[in-house]
Amino acid sequence: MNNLYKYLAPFLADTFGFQEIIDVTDGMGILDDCSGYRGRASRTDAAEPFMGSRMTSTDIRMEDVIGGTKDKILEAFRARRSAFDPAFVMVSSSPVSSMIGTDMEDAANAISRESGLPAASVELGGHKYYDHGISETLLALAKLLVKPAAAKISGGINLIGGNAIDWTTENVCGVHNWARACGFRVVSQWGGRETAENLRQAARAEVNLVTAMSGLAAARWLEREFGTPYIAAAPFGRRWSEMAAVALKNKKQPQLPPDQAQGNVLIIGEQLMSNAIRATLKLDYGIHGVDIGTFFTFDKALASPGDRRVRGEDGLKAFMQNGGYRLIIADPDLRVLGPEDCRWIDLPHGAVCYEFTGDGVPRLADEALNRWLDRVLPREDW
Amino acid sequence: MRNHTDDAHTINISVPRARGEVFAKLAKIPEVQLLYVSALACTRHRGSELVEMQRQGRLSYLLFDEIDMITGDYINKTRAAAAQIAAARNPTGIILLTGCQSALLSTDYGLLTQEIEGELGIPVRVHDGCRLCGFDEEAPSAGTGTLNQLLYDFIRPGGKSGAPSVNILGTAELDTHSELFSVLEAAGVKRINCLAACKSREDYQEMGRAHLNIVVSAQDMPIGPYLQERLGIPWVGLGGIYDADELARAYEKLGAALGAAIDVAPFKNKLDEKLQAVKSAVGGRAIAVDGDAEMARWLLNAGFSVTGLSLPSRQGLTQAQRGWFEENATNLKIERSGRGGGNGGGRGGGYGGEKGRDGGGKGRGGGYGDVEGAYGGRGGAASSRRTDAGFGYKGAAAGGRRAGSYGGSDMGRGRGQRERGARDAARIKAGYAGSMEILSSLERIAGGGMQ
Repeated sequence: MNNLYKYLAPFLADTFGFQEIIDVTDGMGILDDCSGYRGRASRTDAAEPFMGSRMTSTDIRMEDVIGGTKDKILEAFRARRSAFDPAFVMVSSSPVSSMIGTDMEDAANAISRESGLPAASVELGGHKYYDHGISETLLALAKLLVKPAAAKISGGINLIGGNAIDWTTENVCGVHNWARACGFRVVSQWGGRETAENLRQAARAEVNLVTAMSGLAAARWLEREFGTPYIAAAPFGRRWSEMAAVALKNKKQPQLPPDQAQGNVLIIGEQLMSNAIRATLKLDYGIHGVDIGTFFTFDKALASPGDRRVRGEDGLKAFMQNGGYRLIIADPDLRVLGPEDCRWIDLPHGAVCYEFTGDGVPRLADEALNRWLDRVLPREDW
Repeated sequence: MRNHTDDAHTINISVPRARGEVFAKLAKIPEVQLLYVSALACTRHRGSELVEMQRQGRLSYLLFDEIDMITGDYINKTRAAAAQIAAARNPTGIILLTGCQSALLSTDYGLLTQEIEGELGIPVRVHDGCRLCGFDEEAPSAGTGTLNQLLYDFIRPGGKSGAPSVNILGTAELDTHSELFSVLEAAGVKRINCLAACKSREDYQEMGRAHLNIVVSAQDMPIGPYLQERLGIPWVGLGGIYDADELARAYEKLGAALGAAIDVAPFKNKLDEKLQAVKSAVGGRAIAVDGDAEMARWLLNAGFSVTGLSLPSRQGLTQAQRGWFEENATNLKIERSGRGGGNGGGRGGGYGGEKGRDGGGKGRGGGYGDVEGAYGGRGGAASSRRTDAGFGYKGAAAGGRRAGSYGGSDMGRGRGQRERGARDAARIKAGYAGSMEILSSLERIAGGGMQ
């Protein structure tokens, strides 16, 4: 059964992705739900929900199922507005409110009318993974905030999608630093800490760099609306980062030559992050036959023939155990389903690991990935 | 117990109702599998203890999506998941736990569990507390009793044990200093069972062979008659009794059930002496009781000036209590607090503090377990209108870290086995020890020892 989790804690849901994005902005998020969610910083213990967060919830109760939750959304906004002093407001549905059918857009409009603040809504049902929540939130933010630009900024780029759930905050900053070191001017970053003011300027970028799959929808919208092309690549690893920089300048997706080798290595993780690690293994270490599996957003156009979307514990187990892999790079929680006679490198992922602290995640940006691989890769003839 | 003075004159005294994390509580039933059926978003609210439960092979998750809800396929999936778990893990039973969306779907889980039970040949139950409906431990789930009844629902009837044995039931776990243990020992009881000490299905089923059930927490009294009907085990209630004479009668009943004469005169005399001493110390100061009508009645009857009684909105007074208060306590102000036990258990602990409107939330709850001695709220913040709820969830958790539970073991070898970390263990002292504790708390406050 795909949806039965006997060994793995179910992964982070879309509502957590919404929270993650709001928390790194100067906006305010309202989750129309009967409970608050623990933020990234406090997810592993019994801390207050939304501790250190820019989120609040409407605290839905049974009586609201009849009466609706619009008023509670407004109440939640009024109660926390002064504390957050938000530059914008984003409202999201949740498992319960999506069933009730609350008109989130109407609620957002009411907030906007009342406060004069830009406000929008995201329709999340709590059934999809975090990356869907991030994707929808970034897209809604783009539609809400970005205005047409009179002129592009030379060398200006937006970094879209990279977030602390996939990478940790250090790596989000690392990518920002890499971009600047390459001579780009980062107009805004979507998924990392950012202000609404910078997000508004996004149309001024010449090209967008999608660094995680959850940034793809926003990048495609920006392309449609403002003609800004995008490149999808996480700039991790020495030569792959160089290729990403060149691709950004040429506004053309970087490509690796096709690989005919059999599966040697399996990476389980977010697709663009895993692609970058594969590219680095191939380009900098000469390791071929690297396959990628992901539970999350999977785009065939960015995949190799051996890559696949993984579904459920059974799917993961079959993928890991039947591929004949010599090495698996994945979150340590997945190890319980892995083959016993296979080398394993831990790469914690915030959406998978229940007790994620980010401590075990290496620095990845640019050459940092190589330094980590130098340390952890088994010394054998690949 | 949490006590404080909210002004110069009134002493507030409140009783924690032991509440605990539902999953942790149910996982105490040996070799029972928990299956959480919910939307993905509902699975990561809780702390890392769920991870531990899953690693121990006790907990699984079944996720359903919008299509499952529309087509009703989540019913079939639940059935299939239960079968898969039963085949893989050979449990003594399965408990389904459901999320908020299940509440909105109005699923007949009573019928579903019956069907699964028929298919698998093992007991299957449901606990449908959720954040939307609240975690009301005293409200029955579909086709099942209350949460605390559920804890004992997998016991099968068995022949009586050879040597006299008793079960101690209820959320409150007795402090090992309670006189109950020496009384039972004197009455010839050779074995005391309690859930926290059951390590295997055999230990657990041994409870079905007990000669007597003793319910030690007031809110769990329904467990007594419930198990009497189901297992044929007579019961005696010691919870919620404070008065020395009433306690003597309860012990008399206990002795009759065990066929032994029980002498509680030393405990009764000690309590009487203490009562007189504390009355002198407290004098005419007003006392406000939170959460326990029987405690208020006892204190009033003993001559204390109880001016306020605050009860959770869903907790009513019995006819006898109402009549007694009307007749004997015309100045008593009875208030309903919070929004009811319904949402109280969950909300108070997790969220009350944050919103600042449920009161009695996180911070205050945590105080319970940290106080010196047994009870008494450090700080015991003034807005204890939500004591029952807010206090319970967190307080019980914190309290549990210090609480020892009386291990169910042969009395001759290992009485007093301590179970640390029992999260739902509120160290409520039933019996004379409990009354003594309340009086000691009042004495301390009156003497300025706890502000």
